[in-house]
Parts: sequence; structure tokens; C-alpha cells
Amino acid sequence: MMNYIWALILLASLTYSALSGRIGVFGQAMMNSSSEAVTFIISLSGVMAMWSGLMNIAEKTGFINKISRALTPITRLLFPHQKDPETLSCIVMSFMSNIFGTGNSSTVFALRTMEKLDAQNHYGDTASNDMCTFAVVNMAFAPIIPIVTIQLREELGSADPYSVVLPCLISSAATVIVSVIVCKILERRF
Amino acid sequence: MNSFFSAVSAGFMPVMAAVIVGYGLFKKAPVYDYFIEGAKEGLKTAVEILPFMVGIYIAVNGLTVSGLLDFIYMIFHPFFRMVHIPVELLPLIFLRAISGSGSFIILQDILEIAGPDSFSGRAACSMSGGCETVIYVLALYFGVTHVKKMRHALAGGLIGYCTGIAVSLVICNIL
Repeated sequence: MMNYIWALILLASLTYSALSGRIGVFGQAMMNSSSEAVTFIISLSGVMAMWSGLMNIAEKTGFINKISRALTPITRLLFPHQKDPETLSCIVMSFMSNIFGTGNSSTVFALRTMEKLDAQNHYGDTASNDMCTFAVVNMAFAPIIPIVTIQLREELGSADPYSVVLPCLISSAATVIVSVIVCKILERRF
Repeated sequence: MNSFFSAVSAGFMPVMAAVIVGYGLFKKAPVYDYFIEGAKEGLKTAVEILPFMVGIYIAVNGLTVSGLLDFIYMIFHPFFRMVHIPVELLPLIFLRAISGSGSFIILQDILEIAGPDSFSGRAACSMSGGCETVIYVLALYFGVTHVKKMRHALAGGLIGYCTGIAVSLVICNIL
């Protein structure tokens, strides 16, 4: 899917720039954006290292497990037929790391969850209810503190960089609730 | 009220760090070693996502520079004006569903042009915080399974996405 989207964007822009006589600028932009990507990652990697470090402490000392266990009632609500404790803990870990803002460790847990659900689904070609609910709800979970966004606001001289935390929380909470309801309704129709 | 929320928000990150480290010390764990170990993993992840970033930056910058994106926005302008949504948010609303890093550049642009404390600036931040890159996540998640039919996953994801956008606009208007 990403293959088509990526190729479509590239080829469509290339064609449009050729038609509007901007093909030279387009070539220049391709080279510039590659190095821009590297510069961006370098500036990001410090924050990423710090949070991964702290999260590793939370993980190794069992702090995350404690919070995961406290959240079990919620996962029971979302996945009433899910009995496998390992799958459930993967689901919770994915939600948790999403909430703690470590999107990449969340991706790791999410992929592990999907593999487990795939096995329960007997490697069939139609997604199970749990798969859809998990994917949609995990998408809706947002970090409690959007670190990168706040850092960006700070850099750009915001008077109150943290003022977006509450709107983020509310919009993400609303998204989670709507996503759960939508999944529960749609899974009966599809 | 606002300063209270700001204080809570500003204090949250340091407090969370303190709780994590404090809990580790209480458990007599080698917290510094764990930190270094995790930080190393974080740096590795940063390097691992670099190729994706390069690919997405090229596609997104190509889309912008070619003028194709402006053309698409022009089509949607009248609708946005009709419902009183600032037009500068258009690129973010569209791109956020496709690419996280791509929409980050656009977020940066919006904050630079409209200012981080303006309505557009705050709504843009809230959207980036509350909405996930639907298409990328679905491709990634279902990529590790044998599933060919995603059923309601795409519809559910997009409905959730639109909810995030709408709530961000409303909340930033109120607060």
C-alpha cells in the first residue's frame, strides 16, 4: 500500500512540476530534502535517546508492568473474548508506550500483538475483530506529553509551550472513545 | 485556571522522570546503566527510521515544490472558508493521515508563519498530538499478518482521525 502511495505522490508531483515548468526546482528539492531528513533525525535523536533511556529504567524495574496490571480491566472491556495473557500484556504495553510517548517501542509491541492475533486467526486472510479494534484504538492513543511538539514550540519562542497538552489530551481521549464505539458497531456489519 | 494547567503540564515530564528513576532506586536497580542501555537503543531506532524519513521527505517536498499540493488545496479552499477553518491548517489535515514526519514539517511551517500561540498554531499542535498516521500504521500493522481483507479497520481509523481533527478545532477555540 505504501508502495503505491509513495510512487503515486512522487510521479504525480514530477508530472505536475514538468507541466508547470518547475522540473529544475523539483530536482533541487529532491536533493535538499534528503539532507534535510538527516538533519532532522540528528536533532531528534537526543530527545529520543533520553526517553528511551528513562523508559528502559521503567521497563526493567517493573514499573510499566505495575501500570499495565492496573489497566487490565480496560483491556478486558475492549477485548472481551481475548483470554491469552501474553497477547493482553502485549496490547497493554503497546497502549502504555503510546501514552508515555515512546511511539517506536509502541510499534514494536503493536507488531508483536498483531503477530499473536494473526496466529489466533489461523493465519486467515480476513482480519479478526480483535485485530481491527487493536489497530484502530492503538492509532487513537496519543502521548500524554507530546515532547517533540513542545520542543518545537519552545524553539519557535512560544510564550507557553505546554498550553497544547490539555487540548491534545482531550482530543485524543475523544478519538479513543469514538474509535472503540465505531469498531464495536462496524464489526457487526462488515 | 490556565496557569494551573500549564503548571501541571510543565511539571509532568520532570515529575515522571523523577518517579521512574526514584522507583528504580527504591528497587535497588542500576538506574544509570539502564538509562545508558535504553538511550543506546533510542539512538539505534533513530538511525533505523532514517531511510523512511528520507523517502517521505522527498515525496512530501516534491508534492509541495511541484505546486501539486497547492492545486489540491485550491479545490478545498471554499469548503474550509465555509466552515470557518483557517486555510493554513489544510495541508496538515490532509498530510497527517499519510505521513507523520511529513506533517511535522508542515506543523513547523504553520507554527513559524501563524505563530505557536495563535489559534492555528495551537490547533495544529493538538492535531499532530491527537491524530495518528492512519494509512502508514495500517500498512505497517497488517504487513506482519497474513490478512488481505482489513474489514472495518480503514473506515474505523479514518472516522477516529476525523474525530481528532474536529475535537482539536473545537477545543482550541474554547480554551
